[in-house]
Amino acid sequence: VALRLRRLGIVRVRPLLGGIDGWHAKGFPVEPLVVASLSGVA
Amino acid sequence: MEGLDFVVRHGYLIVFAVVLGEQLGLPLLGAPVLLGAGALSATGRFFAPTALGLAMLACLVGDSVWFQLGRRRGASVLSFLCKISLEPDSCVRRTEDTFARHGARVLLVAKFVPGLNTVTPPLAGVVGMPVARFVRFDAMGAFLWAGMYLGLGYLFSSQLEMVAMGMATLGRGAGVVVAVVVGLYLGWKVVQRQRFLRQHRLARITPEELMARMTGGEPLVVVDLRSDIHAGVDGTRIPGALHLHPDELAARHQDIPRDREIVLYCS
Repeated sequence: VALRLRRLGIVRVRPLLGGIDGWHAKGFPVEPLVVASLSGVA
Repeated sequence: MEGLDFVVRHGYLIVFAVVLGEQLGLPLLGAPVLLGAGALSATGRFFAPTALGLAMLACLVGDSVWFQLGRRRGASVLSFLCKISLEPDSCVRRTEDTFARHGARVLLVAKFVPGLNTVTPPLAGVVGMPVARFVRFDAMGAFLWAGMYLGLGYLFSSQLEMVAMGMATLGRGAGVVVAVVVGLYLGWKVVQRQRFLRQHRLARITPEELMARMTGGEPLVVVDLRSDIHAGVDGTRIPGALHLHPDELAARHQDIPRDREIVLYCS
């Protein structure tokens, strides 16, 4: 995805090491996120 | 007829073991074994309903292992599957999107789609599908899949025997050709994966650095690229992150300011 963004002309792109799991692992703050499209899957 | 004799001799055990192994994620192919079992049923050397029952049981056992793993370990199971997949970029995401759109019905067709097969059961567990519903749909999917290949083998038994004999005549030559083609394909995938990982590693930002720069008031844009399922299961995001589906990038990339640094994350 980072590469696709670069192709779209956005050059200063950096992926976060470890993703959200890495962020959680450090205990850094998060805010709640509600995803509407999920209801009805299970 | 070597192959068919082999199947006859060890019979039902092979059907069960190969299908179970395949469902657990081993690089085995259940379809040709089921075709063979179907062909042998046509000539009375095999009892098709038993083979079907065993194949379904094997599917249910193997898939339930993944389902339970998904239930208990959540998204980390998906991350693991993604890591061992040869297409880390798209493997899980594609499955998640299909799942979000079609729900449990994905289980009916997943066995026919190589990429979906292994990922669907754990994903059903991750999204919290009730056990009874999972078992029902998985059993139906297993019935369709095993039944189709057994049926095809039954219908085309004489043609399959001809193919088997042809392979036996070509002998080692045919085997070598198949092995080379498979080897080249796997090699190509590995090269692609290496290239992907190298490019990806280029300019990663550590959580500490991002945190420091966010608290320092730097004008960063954080983009959350997780699929709806992943983000929904997690239920949180990095403060201020823009949740964007990768497919929306092309349409919405104008929303992303060019003059700032962009930090992307998934799970």
